[in-house]
Amino acid sequence: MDAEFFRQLRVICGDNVVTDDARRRVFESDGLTMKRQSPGVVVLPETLAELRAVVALCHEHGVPLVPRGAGTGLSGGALPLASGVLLVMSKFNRVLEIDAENRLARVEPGVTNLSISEAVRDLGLYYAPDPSSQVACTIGGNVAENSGGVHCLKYGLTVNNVRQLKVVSPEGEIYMVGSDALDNPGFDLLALLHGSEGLLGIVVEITVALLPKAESTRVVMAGFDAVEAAANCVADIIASNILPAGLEMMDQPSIRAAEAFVSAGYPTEAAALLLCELDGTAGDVEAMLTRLTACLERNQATKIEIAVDAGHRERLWQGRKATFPAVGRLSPDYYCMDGTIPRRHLAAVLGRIAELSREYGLGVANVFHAGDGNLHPLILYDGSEPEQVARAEAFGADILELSIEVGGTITGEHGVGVEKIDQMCLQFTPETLSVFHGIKTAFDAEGILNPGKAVPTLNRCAEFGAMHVHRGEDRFPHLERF
Amino acid sequence: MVVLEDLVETVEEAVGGKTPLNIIGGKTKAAFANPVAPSSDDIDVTGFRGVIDYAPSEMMLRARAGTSIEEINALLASEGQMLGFEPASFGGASTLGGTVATSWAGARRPWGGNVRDAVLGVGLISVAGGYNEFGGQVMKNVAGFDVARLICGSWGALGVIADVSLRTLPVPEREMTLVQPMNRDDALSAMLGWSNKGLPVSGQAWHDGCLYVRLAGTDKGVDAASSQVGGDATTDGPWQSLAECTLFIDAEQIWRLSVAPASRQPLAEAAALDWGGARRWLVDPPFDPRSRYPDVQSYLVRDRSGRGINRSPPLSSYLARLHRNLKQHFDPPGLFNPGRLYDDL
Repeated sequence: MDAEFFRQLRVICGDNVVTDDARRRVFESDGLTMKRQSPGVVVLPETLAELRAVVALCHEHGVPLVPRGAGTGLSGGALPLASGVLLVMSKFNRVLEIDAENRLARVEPGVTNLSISEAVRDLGLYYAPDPSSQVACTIGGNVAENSGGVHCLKYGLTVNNVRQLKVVSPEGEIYMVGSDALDNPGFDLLALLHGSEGLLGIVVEITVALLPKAESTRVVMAGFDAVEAAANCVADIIASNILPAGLEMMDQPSIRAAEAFVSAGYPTEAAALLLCELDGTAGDVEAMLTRLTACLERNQATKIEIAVDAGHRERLWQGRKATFPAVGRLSPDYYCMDGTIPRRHLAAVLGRIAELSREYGLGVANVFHAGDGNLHPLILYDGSEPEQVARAEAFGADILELSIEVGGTITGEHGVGVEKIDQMCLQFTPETLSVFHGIKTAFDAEGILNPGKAVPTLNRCAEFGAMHVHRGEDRFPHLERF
Repeated sequence: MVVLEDLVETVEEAVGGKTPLNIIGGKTKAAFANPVAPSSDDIDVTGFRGVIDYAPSEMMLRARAGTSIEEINALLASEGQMLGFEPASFGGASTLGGTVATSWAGARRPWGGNVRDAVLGVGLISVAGGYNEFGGQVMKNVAGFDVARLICGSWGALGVIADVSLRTLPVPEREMTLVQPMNRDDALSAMLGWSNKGLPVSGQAWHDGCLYVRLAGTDKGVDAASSQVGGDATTDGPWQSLAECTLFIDAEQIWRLSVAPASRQPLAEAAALDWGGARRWLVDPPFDPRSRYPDVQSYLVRDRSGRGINRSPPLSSYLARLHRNLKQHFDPPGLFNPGRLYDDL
C-alpha cells in the first residue's frame, strides 16, 4: 500500500477511509478477542460503485482485502491484516424489497439478522436462522459463516434459507448466484459461497426465504439427575420421530450461572437441563407435546415444566440465551468452542471435557444445541494472564481434536477463521485441502480475498504436524519441515 | 460386488488413457439431460451399493452411490423416517448417486427441502485427487468449503459420487391428498394462500382442471387443515408422475420452468403446476420458452425434436467462467460426463 494507493482510496471513498491509529484500533478484533491486529486501513464504502472501485483498486495493486460485517464472529474470520484493507460493510444496511407473496426479502449485507424478522413481522412472517448474536450480527456475516442458531434442527442453517446472492468478484465484477425460484442450473455455487468466510467473493445483496409464523409454539423444560440421562432422552426424542424446532441442553455450571443471572426458574440441583420447543399447527403441537412428555417421563426427567403462556416461554428461553453473559460473570474471560459430534458420543465427550478441565485447571460450562449435536463448551480463563490464555487455547485445541476423533467436526457454526486453522490439518487430508485450494483459485486466482483464513496451506500443516504428531502418524511426510 | 478401489482404478485408467467417462447409475434420468460425448467409456456405479451406516436417533444415513432409492426408502420407512426431498424411485431403478448428481427432488421439495439441503457429506472420486470425503455425518459443519453440496446437480461433471451421507426426517403420522376442480388462476392463488398461512402442506399441484393438495402431520393437524382446504380425498395424486415425468406420455417436448411461486410467467400456457406454483410444466409449446421468458430457468426434460437444444438453461457469462474454472480443477483433462450439462463442461 503506497501513497498513490491511499490517494486513490480517498478519491473513491472520501472521509470513509480510516487511517489514524486510534480509529483503526477499534477494528483490531472481531468476537474472538484473543487475536488482535490493527488493520492497515479501514474503508467503509457507501455505494456499490464505491465498493467495486475499492475492490478493483485492491486487485490492481495486489492489496489483500478482509471483509467485515458487525464483527461478532467468533473465529477471527474478520481479523484484519497489517498490510491490507479492512472492508467494513456496515453502510450497506437497507432492506431493499419485501415480497410477501413469494415469501422473500431482498436485503443488503449490513442488515442485522433480527431486523429482517422485525421488518416482516406485520405480515406474519419471519426469517428462521437465529444465531444468539442476532441483535447485532449482520446477514452478510451470516452468509460468510453459514450461521446457525437454536432452531437449526428443524429449519436449517443460513445456507438452507437463502435463495440468491449478488456478489462482487475479486476483480470488481458483479454476478448473481441463485434466483427467486427453487431450482438453479449447474453446480450449486449458492451453497459453496455459504460458509466460505469471505474467501471467494464479497456478497452485496442477499435474498432470504421467509417462513409463516407457526400457529402454535410450546416450550418444555426438563431437569435430569445425570448428563447421561439427558443425552439418552435427546436420542429418544429424535428416535420417537418428534422434530422439535429447538432442542437445547445445559450442564450444571451453565444452569447455575444462568439462574443466578436471570432467574429463569431453572432447577439448580439438576445435573442437566433440556429445553424443547415444538411449533406447527395447534393440532400438531398438541399431539407432539403428549408424545414428548411421555418421552421425558420414561427417561427419568426429575422436573418437567411446560410453559403456559408466551411470557413463561420467554422466561424459559431467557436463561438459555443469557448463558454466555451469565458465564462471563463467573470469570474475567471465556473461550467459546464449537465442535459438532454425533449425539451418541455426547456423554463420553462431556465426561472427557470434564477431565480436561481438571487437567488444565480451568473451569468449563457446557451449553449444547443437543438436537443437532453442536457443542459449545465455554472455557473460563483470565485474559490478563498470558499463561492462562495459552492454557485455554491448548484446552480448546484438545476439545476440537476430540470432536474429530468421535467422527464430528471442529466447527458447527462459528467458522474456522484463524482460530481453528491448524485443526483443519487434522480434520482433512492434504488431498482434500488441495481441492479447497483449487476452489479458492477458481474464484480468486490472485488470492486477495481474506488470505490466511479458513483453509491452511500445506506448508502450514507440515509445520503444525511437526509439532503435533497424532497417534504416531505423520500426515504430511512428503513436505519438508522448517 | 464392486469395491471403492475398482471405481478409483477405472478412473485412473481413464486418466491414463485420456478416455472420457460416462457415469452410469440406474439410467432413469439420463434422458432428461444432454447426451454424454459418444466416444466415452461407461463407468457403472450401480454395483457399488449398500447402506454403510444408519442411525435413526442421529437422523443420519450413509450409503454407497449405487444403492437404490427404493432400498433406502424402505429402510428409512421401517424406522418411521424418510428423506425430506422425496426422491423418486422410477420403478426401483433409481440410485442414490444419480439422485444427488442430478439434484432430482420430488413433490415435497418446497416444504421438505432440496436434495442438497439433506446432503451432509459426499465421498467423491475426482481426477485431481482420487477419492476424498467432503462434509461429514453431522448436521452442522462449516469446516472447509461445502463441496458436498457443490456437486448436487453437477450431473457428474466434477467427479464420480461414491457415497453420500444424508439427514433424515420423521415420516408424518398421516398424509392425505385432497382434489377439487379449479381453474389454473384460482388454483395458484389458493396454493399461495395455504402455503403462506403455514398449513401443513407436503404437496400442491394443478393439472387437468384439478387442484391437488397433500397434507401431512399428526391426525389432529391433518384433520384441522383438511376442513380448510376442502375437496375430496384421493389416493391418485400426480406426485409420482410429475416427479418421474410420466404425466405427458405423447409429448414431443416437455419443459420444466423454475419460477417464484407467485409468478404469472408462464401461467396460462402451463399444462401443469406443482411445487406450490414454483414449477411450471410446458408441453409442446408453440414458442421457445427461453426466448419468451428470458429471466426464467427453463429446463428441457424431454426433446424428441432432434434439434439438439441444450437441456439446461444457459448460465450468465460470469457463472459459466466459474464453472469452467472449477471443472479445470476437479477434472483438468475433462473426462467426466463431457457435454452432459453444457458443451464446454
